[in-house]
Amino acid sequence: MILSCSQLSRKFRTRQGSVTAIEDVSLALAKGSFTCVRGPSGCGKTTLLLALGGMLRPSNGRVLLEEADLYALSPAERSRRRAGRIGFVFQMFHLVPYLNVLENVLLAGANGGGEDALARATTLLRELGLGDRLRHRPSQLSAGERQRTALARALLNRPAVVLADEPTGNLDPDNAREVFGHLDRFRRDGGTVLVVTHGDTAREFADQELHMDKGRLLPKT
Amino acid sequence: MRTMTLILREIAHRRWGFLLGVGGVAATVAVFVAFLTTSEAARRETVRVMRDMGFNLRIIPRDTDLDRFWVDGFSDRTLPEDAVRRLAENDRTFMSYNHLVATLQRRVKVQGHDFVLTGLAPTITSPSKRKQPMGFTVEPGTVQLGYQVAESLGLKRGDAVGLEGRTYQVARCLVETGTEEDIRIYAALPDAQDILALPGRINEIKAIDCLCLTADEDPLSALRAELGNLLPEARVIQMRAIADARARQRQTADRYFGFLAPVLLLACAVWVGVLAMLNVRERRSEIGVLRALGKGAGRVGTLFLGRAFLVGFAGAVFGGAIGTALALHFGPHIFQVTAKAIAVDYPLLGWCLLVAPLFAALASLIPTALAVVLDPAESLRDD
Repeated sequence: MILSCSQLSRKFRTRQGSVTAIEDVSLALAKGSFTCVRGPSGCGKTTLLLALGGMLRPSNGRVLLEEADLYALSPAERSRRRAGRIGFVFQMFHLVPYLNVLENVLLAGANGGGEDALARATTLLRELGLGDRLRHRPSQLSAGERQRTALARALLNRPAVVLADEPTGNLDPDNAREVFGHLDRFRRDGGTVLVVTHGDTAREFADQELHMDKGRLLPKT
Repeated sequence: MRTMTLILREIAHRRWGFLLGVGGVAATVAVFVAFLTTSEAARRETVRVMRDMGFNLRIIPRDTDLDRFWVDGFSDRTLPEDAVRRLAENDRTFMSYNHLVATLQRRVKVQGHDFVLTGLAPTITSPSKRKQPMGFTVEPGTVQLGYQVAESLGLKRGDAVGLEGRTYQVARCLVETGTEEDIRIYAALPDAQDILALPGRINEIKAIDCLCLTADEDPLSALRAELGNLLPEARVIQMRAIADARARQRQTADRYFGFLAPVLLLACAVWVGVLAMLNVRERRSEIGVLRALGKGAGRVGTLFLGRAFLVGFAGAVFGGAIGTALALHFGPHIFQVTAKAIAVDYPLLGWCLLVAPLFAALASLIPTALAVVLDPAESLRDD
C-alpha cells in the first residue's frame, strides 16, 4: 500500500464542546488506484484528506505513507515527505495571486526549482492546455484554468499520491471532467489518487468508491 | 522560487499595505532625524539663553555678616585670591560648579558719585568640557562702565577716568539693565586690587551650578556639602529663581523628547504591527498552501520578517531624507543664532538604516509568529 490509515480519529475542541470530525477510519490506497470518497458536506472528508496528507495530526490512529508513520516523523521530515511524495489539489485552488501561472507551479519546487523544474512545469502546463497562459496571473484565468494550474503544481514533484479536496467543486461539468481526466492519466502513469467529493463526476474515473457520513466510513455495499 | 523574489512580488502586489508601513516608519524616522539633526543647535541656543541669565551662585567668605551683605550687595570680608585656584584645581569642583569668576567689589566715590568698583578675573571653566567663558573680560588698564556711571560722569568709550589717583581708559559703556549693574565700574581684578589696596584678595567667586536639579531636589544642600569639603572658609548662596529657571530650561527639552520618543516609537510599532497582522490575515490561504507544499516554518517566517525588514529599510531611507531636509530647511529659521550647527548627520542616518529595519522586524514579530504557527489545515479548511 502506498498510503493507508488505521483507526484514524480526529476531535476538535470548540466553545460548544468537543466535536468528532472523523472516527475510527481505516483505509488503504494501492499504488495506481483511483479512490473516491463521497459524502455530504461536513461529514469529515476534508479532515480525512488533511490527516492523510500529514497536515492535521489525528487524535488517534496512524497514517502510513510508503510504510513510514507520518506523525512519528519530525515536523521537518514530515514536510519534506509531503513536499516530495504528496500533491494537493483544493476546491478553492489556493493559487498565489501575485505569481503568474508558471511561478505558481514552480512554487512547489525545492530551492527555486532549477532548470529541471522549469522544464517539467512548462511541459505539465502545456499538457494541461495552459501553454499560452504561462505568464498570466490567476486573476486572468477561468476557474477551470486555475484548477489545472493547481493540478500542475501538485504534479510538479512527481508525487506518489495526489490528494484532491473537491477539485471540481467550482467547475462546470466539462471542466470537471477534464480535471478528472488529467488525474486519471496520472493514475495510469502509476500514480495514486484520492478524491473527496460530494459530486458524482468522480465515480466515472474511480476504481474504488467509499462513502462517508458523520465522520465514519460506511461499509461497502 | 527564491524567498526574496516572493517577498518583492508580494510587495508589488499589495503595494498600498507596504507603502502604509513605509509611511509609518518614515514619519517616525523623519521626526527623530529632524529633531536630532537640530539638537546641537537647540543645545547651543539653550546654553546661550542660560548664559544670558547670568551667574546663580555666589561664593563668599564664611564669616560674612549676611545682613550687611544684602544691604551692601557684597561681602565686607575677603578671601585669598588663590581660593579660586584651589577650587578649580579639584577634580570634583566642575561636577557641581562651573564658570568660576573671582571678583573683588567695594564702594568707591568718583567725582562725588557713589559707585561699586568690581574687579573681575578671567573665567575659569572645566578643562574637559571646553565651555565658552561667560560674561566679559576686562583688559588691564581699562574699565567698563555701567549705564548710570557713564551717564553720571558723562563718559563714553575711549575717554579716560581717574580712580584713586590712577587713570583708566573706558573700553565700553554698558547698556541699561535696570539693576544695580548700572552703577558698577568693571576693572581687571589686579587693577581693582591696586585701587582698593587689597593685593591678592577677593571677596566673591561667582559661579553657575551644573547639577541641573530642580528646587524640590534640594540642590543647595549638595552644593554646600561640596564646597564645605573644598573651601571650608567660604559659603555659597544660590540665587534660586535663576537656578530654577536654568534647570527648568534645560530639563524641558529633555523631558519633551523623553516623552515624545517612546510615544512615537510605540505608535510606529503598533502601526507596523497592525499592518503586518492584516498582511498575515490576508495571506492565510497562501501560508496554508506553502505549508502544504512542504515549506517549513523558517521559510514562512522569513517571508514576513523579510518584508518587515524592507518596510523598515525603505522607511529609514525616506524618513532620513525627509527629516534631514526638514531640519536643513526649517532649522535655521528656528535656531537663528546657532544655525551653523545644523548639518547633515551622516552617522545618524547610518544608524537609522541599521535600526529601523530591525525595529520594523521586531514590531512584526508577533504577526510573524502567528503566521508560522498558523495551522495550515485550519486555513485551507476555512474556505
